[in-house]
Amino acid sequence: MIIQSEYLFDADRPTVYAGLQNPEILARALPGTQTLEIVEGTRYAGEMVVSVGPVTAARFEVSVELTDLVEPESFTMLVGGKGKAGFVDGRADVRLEDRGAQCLMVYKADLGVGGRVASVGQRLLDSVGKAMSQRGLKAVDRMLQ
Amino acid sequence: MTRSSAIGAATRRNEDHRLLTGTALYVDDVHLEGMLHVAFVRSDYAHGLLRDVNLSAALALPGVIAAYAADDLGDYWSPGPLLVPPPPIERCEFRSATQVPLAKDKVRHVGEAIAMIVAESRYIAEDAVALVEVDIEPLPPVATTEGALAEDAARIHDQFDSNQAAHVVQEKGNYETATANAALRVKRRFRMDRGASAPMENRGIVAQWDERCAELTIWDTTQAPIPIRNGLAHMLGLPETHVRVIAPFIGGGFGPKIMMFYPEEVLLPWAAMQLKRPLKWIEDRQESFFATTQEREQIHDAELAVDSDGRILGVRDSFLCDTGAYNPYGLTVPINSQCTLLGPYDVPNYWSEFQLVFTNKPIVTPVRGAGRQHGVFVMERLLDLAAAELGLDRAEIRRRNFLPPDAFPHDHEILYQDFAPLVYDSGNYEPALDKALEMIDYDRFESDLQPAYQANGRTVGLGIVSYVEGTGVGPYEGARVTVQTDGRVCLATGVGTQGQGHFTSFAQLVAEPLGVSAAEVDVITGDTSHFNWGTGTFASRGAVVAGNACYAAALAVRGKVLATAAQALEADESDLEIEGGCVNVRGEPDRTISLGDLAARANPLRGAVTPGTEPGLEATAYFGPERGSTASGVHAIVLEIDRETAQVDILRYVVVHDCGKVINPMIVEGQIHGGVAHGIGNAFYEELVFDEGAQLMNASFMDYLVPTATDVPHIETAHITTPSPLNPLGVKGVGEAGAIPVGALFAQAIENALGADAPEVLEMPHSPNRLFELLQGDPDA
Amino acid sequence: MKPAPFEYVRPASVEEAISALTEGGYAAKALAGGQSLIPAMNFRLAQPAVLVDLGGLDELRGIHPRDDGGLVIGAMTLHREVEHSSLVAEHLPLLAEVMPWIAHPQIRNRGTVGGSLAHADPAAELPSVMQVLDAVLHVQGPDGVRTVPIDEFYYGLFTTALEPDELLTAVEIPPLPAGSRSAFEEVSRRHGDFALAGVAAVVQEAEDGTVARARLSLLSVGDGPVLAERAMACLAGRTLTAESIREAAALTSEDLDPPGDIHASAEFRRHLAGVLTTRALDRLRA
Ligand SMILES: Cc1cc2nc3c(=O)[nH]c(=O)nc-3n(C[C@H](O)[C@H](O)[C@H](O)COP(=O)(O)OP(=O)(O)OC[C@H]3O[C@@H](n4cnc5c(N)ncnc54)[C@H](O)[C@@H]3O)c2cc1C
Repeated sequence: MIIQSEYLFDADRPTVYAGLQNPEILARALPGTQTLEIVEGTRYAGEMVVSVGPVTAARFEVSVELTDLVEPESFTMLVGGKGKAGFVDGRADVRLEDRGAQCLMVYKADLGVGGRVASVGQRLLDSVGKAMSQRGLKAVDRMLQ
Repeated sequence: MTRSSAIGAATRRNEDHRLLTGTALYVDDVHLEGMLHVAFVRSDYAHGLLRDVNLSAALALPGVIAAYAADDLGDYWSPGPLLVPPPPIERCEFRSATQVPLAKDKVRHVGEAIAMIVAESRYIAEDAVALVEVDIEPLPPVATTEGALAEDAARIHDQFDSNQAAHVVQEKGNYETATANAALRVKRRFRMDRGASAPMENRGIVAQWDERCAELTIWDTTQAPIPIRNGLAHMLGLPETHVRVIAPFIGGGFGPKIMMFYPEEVLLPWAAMQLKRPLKWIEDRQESFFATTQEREQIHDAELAVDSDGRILGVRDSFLCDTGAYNPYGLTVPINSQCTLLGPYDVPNYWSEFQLVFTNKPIVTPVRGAGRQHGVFVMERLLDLAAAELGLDRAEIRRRNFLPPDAFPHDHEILYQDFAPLVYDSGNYEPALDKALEMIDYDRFESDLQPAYQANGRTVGLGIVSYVEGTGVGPYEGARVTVQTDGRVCLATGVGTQGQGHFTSFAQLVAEPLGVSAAEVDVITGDTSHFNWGTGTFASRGAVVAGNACYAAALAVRGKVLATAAQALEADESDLEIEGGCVNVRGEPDRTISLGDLAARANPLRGAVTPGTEPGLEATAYFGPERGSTASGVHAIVLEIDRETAQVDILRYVVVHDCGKVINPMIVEGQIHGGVAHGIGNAFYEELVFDEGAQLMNASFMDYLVPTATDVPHIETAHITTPSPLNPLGVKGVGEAGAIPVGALFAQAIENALGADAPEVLEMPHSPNRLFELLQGDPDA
Repeated sequence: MKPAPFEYVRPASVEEAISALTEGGYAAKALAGGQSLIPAMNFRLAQPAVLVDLGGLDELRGIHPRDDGGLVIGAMTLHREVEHSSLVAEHLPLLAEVMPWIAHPQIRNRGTVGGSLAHADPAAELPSVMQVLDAVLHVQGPDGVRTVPIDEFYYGLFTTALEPDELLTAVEIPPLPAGSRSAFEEVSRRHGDFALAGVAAVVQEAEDGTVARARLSLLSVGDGPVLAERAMACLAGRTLTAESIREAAALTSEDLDPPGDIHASAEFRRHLAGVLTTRALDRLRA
């Protein structure tokens, strides 16, 4: 599944970039994340409880790693999530651009989804992916204010 | 008025009362005291190393009785048998890897069973499934047929150096030299995707171990109860006579239920013996999309060479066939494709090669049609393309290439799936084509109807294609017929029944020689305690192989009836006739005796019999044909396309079919209707969509679209009768016929509707989304 | 396909239902017809700890006429009742027209109007239809009763203005203004399947034959019902002609960012939205 979209932050580029290195703020980018802790360097692990429409309270163990960091322009986020309802595995390439005092994030995620969520939820995967990423970024934006 | 039960009459079905009133027994109707319920832990990953399976939390859940992973099975863990070894084809490399009861070390497709939970209820069993911790280290999945053979493809079976499961070449004549001066060659790549068999009833098993009698009873939704019994007895170390397999009423088989042994089939009987309690497992719809075998993924690169009159000089085909993660069914599917491609045509030169490949997808075994669709699709599409190039009428190019009625038996000089040479027994193809052309109003369609639709802004097209179907393969089946003292007749045969109307057509075959009505014949199928020789219901063989055995047994009983009656009535056998359940002396209505009385006489309780006398009016007979018989037909369609929404609507559907002698035309039509529905699904709706991770994206009936009653049109049928010389009844099979040519038919009709600038339709199924892409001029999208 | 364990309550009044929901918090779910919720539970995608069955709340059932020709439809009214209601047929032909498009008769015999509106499936027909009909939703929670205009009800994917402890009690639909005509168009794979795309349209004609007001709402092409605002604006004050319809349809398609799935790519959905908008508006030409 490919999710390609943009988000305009009400903060400048360095703030957005720095914020996303902070696990507490990064956690907001993944809606439902309950805990996210540094494992080592820019590798994080935690737990996420996802509720979207028919999916309620699906627990996932998540891992996140930020790589190819080019401050304050771009990075790649490797994400993995695993739970009883299935798994998600993939990467998101993130680019930050100045928009005056604001910052535009352009992202493209390529996610493999497996297990039950994929086999019975295909109709909604695209929308859920898009909606969750936007919801997450909105929450990050709020944190950055 | 009672309907006639004569062979050939549309006798009303004996089984319908039970089916329609809900009194027929299905596996899930079996309720036994103390019965436990089973659920399986299945892999979320298509390919991975199985690091650990931790059952402790599951075992701790109240109500859980047992839980097993592969290691808990000890010596009982063993890969399944190679069900169908490859036929003795000269140029054939074959490597076999068969399914395992529970994954050990590695998982090879999504949904592969990893652990088995036994609990007081299915609810608790599924709660426990959620508590099992499975640690899988993902490996790169092999998600496509073409990808399987890539240099860098992950290997699915470590013992082999590639994912190639077989490489087979069959050749007739010499394609290269014979086509050197061909007027035209058409070459294309054709794709057919995967589908599910989607029976109304999923699989299910109940196993009961009676320790005192040392007897195992298994209710199983199998199409092959006898081989299941024999195999299980062997695996479990029991005498065959102490294992009873019952295949009761089954809500549709369509092929996958002939597969053996499914992991669940091996595990439940074993665990029932371990736990000394009856066990039940009913496959749910979601599991069925992974755990029941599937079919149809193939990619053909095919070339047809014709002379300037459109006569076939030869065909060259090279194809890939997906067998999924394991290949227990050997080469049946690709060989069916290879052989059926030749169709009703005279193809003097043929070169056909295929590679069977392993992928990280559920196992492939035959599904109604079993590879025949693919051959028909390729050949019919090539003929359409050639006809267009030559400016020939599409019906005419078929007519010119038909094998003439005096060409039979016709030897195609290659081997068929039954290991016998592909020899057509009989056929008469032109009358079927003419009949179909007439029924679909072909001439008027081209000259008047289509232009009139066009003038009204409607996009309407016609399709017409021919096909053959190899049916009625061996080895053999048997039947036992008994006249009871109440005058009713009991017929037992080994094949299982999944809705084919066996209780009626077999009854008719027995009723006629014994002078009773079909309603007076009680048919028993699929219970090894009643009949234990035979193989099963598959390959459109029930009527041909079991049917002829039923008929032979009835004739033998008829002989006994007449002999016994001759004694009783003190008449000469040649003066006797059987009618209305009685034997009469011809012309002397008072000299009569009922079948029931004769049965009593044939089984005296006191006194003496002539030494050597066999008791009862009973006989057992077997029938095994020399080889399969070849049915054939023509389908025609008129369909309408909404160019804006890419929706397709079927306006008319015509089937002209030749399955030799028809036992019951109503049942034959029912088989054809069901087949066409299945074919419409394969052509237009049904596709198992796997993503790059070999994850199935539509494992529910919300997204896997089976045509419903409103999507299947009224089907107009007609019969041509060309008896088979290979069996006394002259019958041929019909079970798969309806499903086989539909993809090719749709493709042709869509092109015809869209007119001169139509995109080529070279794949099936053909969804609106795909049609939209083609209409947008984006064939590679 | 058996649900995870859950607690079941069957309240006798709306107030009781609300307190059960309040007590259960996010882990509680209202159960209406169960046609969306129960499959999700059987797949174990939804695992509510408490199920609050609204089946006993007769006060939430029924179709009640307003004096002015509008209707109030209780949340627990079955799709089937709406489909066969003579009141609906008479006053809101659009609603009558859309009902057979919702799933199959078996599902319409159990599924409810409130369930459909609250569930907010982006492919559902009723949210779009209610949107073009300017419906108002009646909501009740621990703090009492409130009403929400439909344009403020849908927030995003499966998300509405309802709090977890609030119930949708009814939907109120004003009468169609004089001079209004309505149409519904949809494409699905098989009859009864979720739509690949669909559109509900209401056009109110002024005395002079121009469009006084147009309402167009699309389904299955976004996160929920999607109002085609630019298309609606472009029709206002003009007559429905091939030209203005073409323009409106083009704007409709252009403004969408539809999701793709195995049955229809984003591209195909966008295309269908344009085609269906054209067809719906064509039907509304005088
Ligand atoms: C095979 C199939 C095909 C379908 N096709 C379509 C279709 O084409 N179009 C379509 O629109 N729908 C379709 N549906 C869905 C169907 O219409 C459902 O009935 C409807 O979406 C939900 O209604 P329900 O009463 O069954 O709600 P439920 O399943 O009981 O509940 C759905 C959700 O709404 C919440 N809820 C229900 N009532 C209230 C309330 N009064 N207040 C607050 N929250 C509430 C529940 O808590 C739950 O989260 C289909 C369903 C199936 C099974």
